[in-house]
Amino acid sequence: MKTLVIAENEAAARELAAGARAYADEVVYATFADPVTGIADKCLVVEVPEGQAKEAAFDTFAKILADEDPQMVFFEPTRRLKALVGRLAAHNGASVMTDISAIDEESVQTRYFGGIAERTAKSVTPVAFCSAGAGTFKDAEPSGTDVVETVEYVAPAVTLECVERETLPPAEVDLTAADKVVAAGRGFGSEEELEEARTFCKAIGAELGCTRPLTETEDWFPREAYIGISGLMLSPEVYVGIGVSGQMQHMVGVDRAHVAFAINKDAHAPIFDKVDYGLVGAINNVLPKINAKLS
Amino acid sequence: MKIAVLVKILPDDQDIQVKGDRTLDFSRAKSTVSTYDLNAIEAAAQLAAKADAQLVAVTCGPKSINDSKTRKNILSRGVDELYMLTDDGLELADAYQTGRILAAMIQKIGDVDLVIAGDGSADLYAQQVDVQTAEALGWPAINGGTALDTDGATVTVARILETERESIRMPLPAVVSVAPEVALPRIAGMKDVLAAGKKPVVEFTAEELGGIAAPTVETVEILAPVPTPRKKQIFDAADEGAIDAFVAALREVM
Amino acid sequence: MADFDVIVVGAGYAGTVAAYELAKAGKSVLVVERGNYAGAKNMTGGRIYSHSLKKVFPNFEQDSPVERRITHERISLMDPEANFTIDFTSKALKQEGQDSYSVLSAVYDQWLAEQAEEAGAEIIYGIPVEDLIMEGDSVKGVIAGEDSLTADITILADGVNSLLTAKAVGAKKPKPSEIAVGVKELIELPSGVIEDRFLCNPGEGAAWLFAGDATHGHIGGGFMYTNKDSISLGLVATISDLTGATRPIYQMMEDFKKHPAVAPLVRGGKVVEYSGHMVSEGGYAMVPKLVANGCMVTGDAAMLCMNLGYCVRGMDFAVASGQMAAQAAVEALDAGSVDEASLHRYVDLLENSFVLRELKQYRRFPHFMESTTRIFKEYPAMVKEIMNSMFVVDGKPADPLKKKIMNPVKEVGVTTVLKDAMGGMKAL
Ligand SMILES: Cc1cc2nc3c(=O)[nH]c(=O)nc-3n(C[C@H](O)[C@H](O)[C@H](O)COP(=O)(O)OP(=O)(O)OC[C@H]3O[C@@H](n4cnc5c(N)ncnc54)[C@H](O)[C@@H]3O)c2cc1C
Ligand SMILES: Cc1cc2nc3c(=O)[nH]c(=O)nc-3n(C[C@H](O)[C@H](O)[C@H](O)COP(=O)(O)OP(=O)(O)OC[C@H]3O[C@@H](n4cnc5c(N)ncnc54)[C@H](O)[C@@H]3O)c2cc1C
Ligand SMILES: Nc1ncnc2c1ncn2[C@@H]1O[C@H](COP(=O)(O)O)[C@@H](O)[C@H]1O
Repeated sequence: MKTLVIAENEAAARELAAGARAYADEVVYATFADPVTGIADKCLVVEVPEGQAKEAAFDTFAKILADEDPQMVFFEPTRRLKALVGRLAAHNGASVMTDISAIDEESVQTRYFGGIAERTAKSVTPVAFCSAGAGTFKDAEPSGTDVVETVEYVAPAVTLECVERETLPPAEVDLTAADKVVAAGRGFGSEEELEEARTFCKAIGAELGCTRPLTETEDWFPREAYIGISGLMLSPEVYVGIGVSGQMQHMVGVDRAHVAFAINKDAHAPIFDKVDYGLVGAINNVLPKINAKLS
Repeated sequence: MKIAVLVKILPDDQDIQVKGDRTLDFSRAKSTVSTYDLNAIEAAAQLAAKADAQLVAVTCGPKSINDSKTRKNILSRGVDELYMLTDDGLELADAYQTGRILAAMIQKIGDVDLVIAGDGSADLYAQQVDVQTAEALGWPAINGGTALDTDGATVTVARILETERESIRMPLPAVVSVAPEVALPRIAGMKDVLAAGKKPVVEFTAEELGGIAAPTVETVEILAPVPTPRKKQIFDAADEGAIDAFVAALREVM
Repeated sequence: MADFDVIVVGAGYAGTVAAYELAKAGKSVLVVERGNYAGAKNMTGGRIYSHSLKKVFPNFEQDSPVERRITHERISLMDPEANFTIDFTSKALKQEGQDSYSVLSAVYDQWLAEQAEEAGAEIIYGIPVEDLIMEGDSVKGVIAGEDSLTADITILADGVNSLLTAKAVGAKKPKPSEIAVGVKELIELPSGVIEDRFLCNPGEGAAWLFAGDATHGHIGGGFMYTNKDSISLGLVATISDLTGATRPIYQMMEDFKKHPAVAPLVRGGKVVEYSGHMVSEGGYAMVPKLVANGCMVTGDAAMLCMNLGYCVRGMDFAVASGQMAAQAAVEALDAGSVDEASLHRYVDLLENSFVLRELKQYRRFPHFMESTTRIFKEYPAMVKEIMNSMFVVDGKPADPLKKKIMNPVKEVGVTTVLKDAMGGMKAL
């Protein structure tokens, strides 16, 4: 069997190539730039001309797909690749399963309704396209040669002009590496109130993340700080949710925490059903008291 | 100019129950508009107002999605017309099937210049139907838009990716999916809802659209995960010593 | 011309019935409901007497989603460590028109709303009415957000927490002693299990009320109603009395569920819903002015509800008042006059029906309950003592029966017991 791996970033390229190795005797890896060597049997580089969106490489990738004829395509779940590779699949009438959480010979698992359930599904087309997030194949090891080929760019019929591009500053904290994670939720009434949460984090040695609304309805946090199904999937030792209701979409991101805590003013908040220790109380009332006791 | 917004109607996840055998019980869950599609409708309505365009909403799904309240909900948000296909063959439809049907609907509606989709559906969140619809239409597509603008011939999409921010311009007709931060859903007023009841709803049949494509993915089962066992010791701050007990538990893991 | 003949605020029992009757009479009617669907924010213990509903929907037993016909009436006096229950069944409880049914508000209100919509009423969901359009002392319509809509008649059916009755008819804000709080859990169990545990035939069920330890001796009580495949279990307690309570009501609810008389009945059940709600309990004294120019007040918004401490009854009042308001509205619209004098017809209809008659009859009862908190504490304990001395056999020589009964009564005081019994009778 042959698997094509498409990834933008190094860590994902390594993990997906390693995962692919477990199923396929041949692994081909394609990327836009800075190819990682030693993880596949062949590495293909697609260079998109300056001033174009990367999605403009669709026709080039379509040609790679036709030439290589893999039975399986693993891709990194970035926004761009979801658009580019999803389109490739549609072009070929093939199945796409994004953000799979597990895979075996027969089927893959994806989350349904934000993690309320797991959906087991099977591809019924000759080629299957899957995107898998970090950690899906964390135990596998990649192997391969250092052959790198640059693929000839096929100009698209419609140009996707890139008018502006800017690299974002790197994330300030790496929540994925943190032992202890505190998540702030909508229970915080203002940005100032977050100070109390920061004090709390310092006291227990935790990093501060948040629920999704705090990055989009409010912009109190950068996007990479929200935890959950569409954000960070974590496995910390300790999780503390403060002012978090406990919706599945958020909780699946911390479900693997060893010990979980919650503070919420509503005794019936669903989060209390998903933690080891809960405190019913309003943030501005109980958090200062907790901080005082901890310091 | 005509803008079409893709809207998925599905059961409200707040009311989905997990049964003893871990299967899901939707019997209490009413139909609702997929959360982030509300943001897409708002972005589309704002753009339509700015570009003086007509705005139509397009949806497909099983028969159960067709209720007057949900229709009014969509039509009260600045949408002029609603096109729908309800067919039980679309229960558990995959992105390929949905993309094909939506593309056929858009072709049948005619004169659509721009299709706007949401960030991802609340059930599958595959972030695929937008691009798959574009492929079926043969139109260019960009996802993750956080701001949109159009001059009638092109659409410019600002977006934030994992490590970059960029702005892409493409010719119309085109498909754009938008991130939730693109616009906050409006709260419809009484007059909007009353007017919504009088707006046209056009229903298609699968036959008129050339039928539903064969699935590319087969669902084997849908089961709730076994919940992580938790101690669930809940203290009430109103009780004597509750905060101390909570802090003691925290100390335990520090 | 006004936007509508009638605008109804609230899609509870009162509002939907009023809208149904008005639409049926060919009037243009709009209902504005703040919940996302009818019943979304409503809660009720769950038993409706059929008499008033039958006047609106003669075949409601077949046509509407009732849960079970109530054929068992149970009343318990509950002490922390004992429980005394009366189980009453009677052919009379099953007779058409005097029977009663358990219902779930979330389901039943929607059915009622559907009937209204099918009859031609328009319903807007998800929008709370914030204010009334007033011209002098006449109500001319409703205001929500930036919109206002006009109507010849506005019917307030917005429940016990009505924010609008103060402006429309000068209703006073209830005192804490006039308001009780109710909490309810909906606990799912297979229908067969319910029938076995409650000794009921399929389709039939029990209404069960608990006085005493359910509310830890505070004014109020517990209730339990059997639905098709769930049980409604809850508490009602007076707010003024609760402020002295050491345990918040949701903890009382936890304790109630664990009481040996309750726990086996709900064992293995899954809590699928939790809700809290206000209940009026002042009785007749709290009923505000019911009409103004262009406005009528119905159901709980008009405090047409009877809280007997261990039992709340308001649904049949809401249904009847909704129907009567509709009747008065139709007559007024047809006659071309919607001023207070014309709409007073509504009050006459209420006066001549069970609604105001029964409320008047029970007028003194709330006061009786408040001043006789013994019902909730001493009497359950007294009954426990009597029963213990009758049933506990320990090998010691037994006292004669009269003494057995009189000893615990003496602890409370014979005259007190008699006085309370008399007071209670008089209040009724
Ligand atoms: C497709 C999709 C994907 C999603 N992905 C994610 C995701 O990856 N991550 C994510 O987080 N969300 C995600 N969401 C959103 C998610 O469904 C919830 O809306 C969100 O997690 C709720 O955030 P919250 O708990 O902060 O806010 P809320 O649900 O509003 O809860 C706030 C809580 O704070 C409590 N509270 C209020 N005031 C106080 C106070 N003074 N003191 C103490 N407590 C207080 C309240 O009782 C309440 O329980 C997604 C949604 C969809 C549809
Ligand atoms: C715990 C408990 C147990 C009970 N048990 C029983 C029982 O067993 N039997 C019985 O007969 N009665 C019982 N009752 C009483 C019964 O529930 C009420 O009397 C009945 O629901 C009153 O109906 P209604 O239509 O007047 O008001 P509601 O049912 O309260 O309906 C009012 C409606 O108005 C809406 N609304 C409110 N404000 C606005 C606004 N500003 N704009 C738009 N909409 C608004 C609300 O969302 C609601 O839908 C119980 C009540 C409680 C709390
Ligand atoms: N059945 C549908 N009808 C209309 N639009 C849909 C449907 N399914 C998905 N979409 C649109 O496509 C987007 C992505 O969906 P998904 O690929 O399921 O995550 C959604 O946010 C909607 O805008």
